[in-house]
Amino acid sequence: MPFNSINFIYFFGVICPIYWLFKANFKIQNIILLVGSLYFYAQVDLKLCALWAVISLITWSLGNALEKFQQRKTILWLGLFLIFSQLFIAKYYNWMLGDFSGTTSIYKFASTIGLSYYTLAASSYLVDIYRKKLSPVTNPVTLGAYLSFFPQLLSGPIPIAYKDLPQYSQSRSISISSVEEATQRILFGIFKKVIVAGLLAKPVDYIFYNHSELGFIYLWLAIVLYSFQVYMDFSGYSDMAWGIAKLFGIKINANFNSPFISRTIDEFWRRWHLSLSAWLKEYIYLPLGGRGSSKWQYMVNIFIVFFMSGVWHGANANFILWGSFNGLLFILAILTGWTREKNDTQYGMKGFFSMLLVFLSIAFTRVFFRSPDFATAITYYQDMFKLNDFSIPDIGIMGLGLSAMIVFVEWLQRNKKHPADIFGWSLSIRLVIYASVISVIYWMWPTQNPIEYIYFKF
Amino acid sequence: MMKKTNLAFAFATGVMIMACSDKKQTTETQSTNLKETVQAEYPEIPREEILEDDTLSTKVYNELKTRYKNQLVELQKAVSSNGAQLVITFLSPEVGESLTKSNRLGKELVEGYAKELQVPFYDLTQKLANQDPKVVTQLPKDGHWSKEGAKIIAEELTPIIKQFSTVKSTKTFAEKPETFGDLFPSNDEILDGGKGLPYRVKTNAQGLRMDTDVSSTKTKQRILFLGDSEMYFPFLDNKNIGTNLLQTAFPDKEMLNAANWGYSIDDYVSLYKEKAQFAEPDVVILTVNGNDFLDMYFSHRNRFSRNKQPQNPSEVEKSFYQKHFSK
Repeated sequence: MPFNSINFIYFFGVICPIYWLFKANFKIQNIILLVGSLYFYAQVDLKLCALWAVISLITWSLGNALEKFQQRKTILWLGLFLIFSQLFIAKYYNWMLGDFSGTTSIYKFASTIGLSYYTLAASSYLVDIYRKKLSPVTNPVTLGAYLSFFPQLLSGPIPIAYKDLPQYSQSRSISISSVEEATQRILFGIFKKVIVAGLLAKPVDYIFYNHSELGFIYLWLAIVLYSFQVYMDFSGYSDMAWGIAKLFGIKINANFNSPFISRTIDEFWRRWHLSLSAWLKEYIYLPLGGRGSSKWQYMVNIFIVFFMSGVWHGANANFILWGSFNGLLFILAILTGWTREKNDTQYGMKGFFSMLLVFLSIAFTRVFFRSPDFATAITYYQDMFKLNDFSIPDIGIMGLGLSAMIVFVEWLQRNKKHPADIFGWSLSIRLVIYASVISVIYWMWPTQNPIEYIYFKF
Repeated sequence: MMKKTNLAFAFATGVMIMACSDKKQTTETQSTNLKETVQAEYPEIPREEILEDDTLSTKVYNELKTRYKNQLVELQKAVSSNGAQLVITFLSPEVGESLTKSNRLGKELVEGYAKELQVPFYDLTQKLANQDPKVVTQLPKDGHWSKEGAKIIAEELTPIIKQFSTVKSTKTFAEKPETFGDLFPSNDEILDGGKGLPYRVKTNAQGLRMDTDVSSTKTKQRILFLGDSEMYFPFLDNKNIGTNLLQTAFPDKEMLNAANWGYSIDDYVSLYKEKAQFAEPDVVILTVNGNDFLDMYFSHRNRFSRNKQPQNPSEVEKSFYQKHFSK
């Protein structure tokens, strides 16, 4: 049930008012969230709901066991083993056996959508209790509502337990301004996902599928368009998720912070898929020692994190190569000193060229991400450097223009909480902007509603 | 305060409903006509069931044969009245052992009708039969022609075009419609039909699947191609479709591709009469396959035919439908 579907609107139209009827009792609200989220998830595959319930019960039980028993380390490892073994069986088992068709898979699911996200959330819950950053919840419904929260169930953002779970044990509020803020994000998200990503999808598919017949300029264009497509698709989804969660009085993590205005590689990864980065940092990078005592250790840790990011994206050598490629790029940036401090906000002409270079470097690695297999990716890379056909592309121009416009808006709004934040403007101007955006969305809405999301498959 | 919050909720929900409503659906609802009503009443389309060995099925098939033949006669008349040459070609991805019963029977029938009407008939599947289906079609994703398949088809059509290279139609038209084909004119879009086979469709200003417009003054021999998706060549860019390959091979001729998805003989007749004949083609190459006979069943026509009038079932068709699809 994608957010931009009529079924979701009906679902939301029913659950949201019921939820706020019980504003005074957050425990009942949690039950409503849990039931609603499971109904939402059951639309994908009922068996996935059953697996979710098993993982959640294990997590809840072991979370309490961590508090009560002395063998804390054993309980933690048992919990992590049980959680990640489900992910492994569902996503990686058949791939490890060399069967790419999935016929040997133990679980016969229609898809494994959501699994990669809530297993990270569940593991973060156990680790945080083990680290004594969080107390276990006594009521399984509270944990269930947190782990199943439908706006972030299918594609994140991945929550960090000790930061996000406490919200489910307290009453929530809603106000005119929070509804407006949610609306801003939802509209921005719909525009990015449905309009821009929708426009980009066809030329990208076309060029990647027919790359051996097209000139090299087309191939370079496709990596640019695809980078924008992934961003518009995923950040559009994340913005909608954030807005919808806000309408339930829950604040979920941001997933993006205008990544394409980054001037260095490290800055890019501080702005891209923030919830995954935060999880990897908290539970892999820092336990490995973070920056450590030497540059060598720092680079090894960075590489491991990117490698794991590739593994997380899926049972496919291309994702691991994509992750590793980006890890190497990061290491190259460290070695050349092409890094940037967090609070450096200077943007000059040099900054513009740096942005372009970062964008192209990241886009270049996307060939692995987009190609169906290693051989196709290598052929694509080879074709990118066959300078024998100088045909100027005549497709994807509209999508490219709109993407550039969004990046420009993000650059203009870089000091705001979010690019869609227009609270600095007067109410009348804001209303005009909302009406305009709604009109544009309505006018440009494609005949085929794009209900597939790139990050649903991870 | 609570009232304001509710209003804001209503606003947000309204926005999302409006944004997510399918505009196409709205348009379709508005243009609901009789044809759609009949289609809704009879949504199922039988295929091989029509060829079962029972009296009712035989009666239905006989009706479809008559209907097909009448339309073919109609097309032959329309083409010859313009002094043009009709040529029938048989083309199907079902070749050799994969030829289904309906296709085999249909092929024999259409070949017989062609003989009766003295219309040249050519089987284009001879060379294709020796090829690996995965090479000449898009299998396993789709059964339509691949680039290699389109190339072979163009090669098979080449001698036929040469054979009729001196034919000239006699009729000219002072007034012409804006389009000669049914495709959206001057279109350039990427489609994939949900098969993961993205391709680029370009149409000319006259709604034909070709890169150039048909010139207002006829200076070259014009070959018109009528057919269904086998001649439309889905999942291939214009440059790779059979008619474009022929255009490159015959620069002294104009190859007009008016083929379209799901079309059958009645569509070719109406398309020719309403639009295509005004392009003044000298040779009309009709591409058929044996399954076209089954397309004449009323529920198939209501789903796919270009004709806007609904086709109601005959008594025999109705009985057959009730027998097979009534709960």
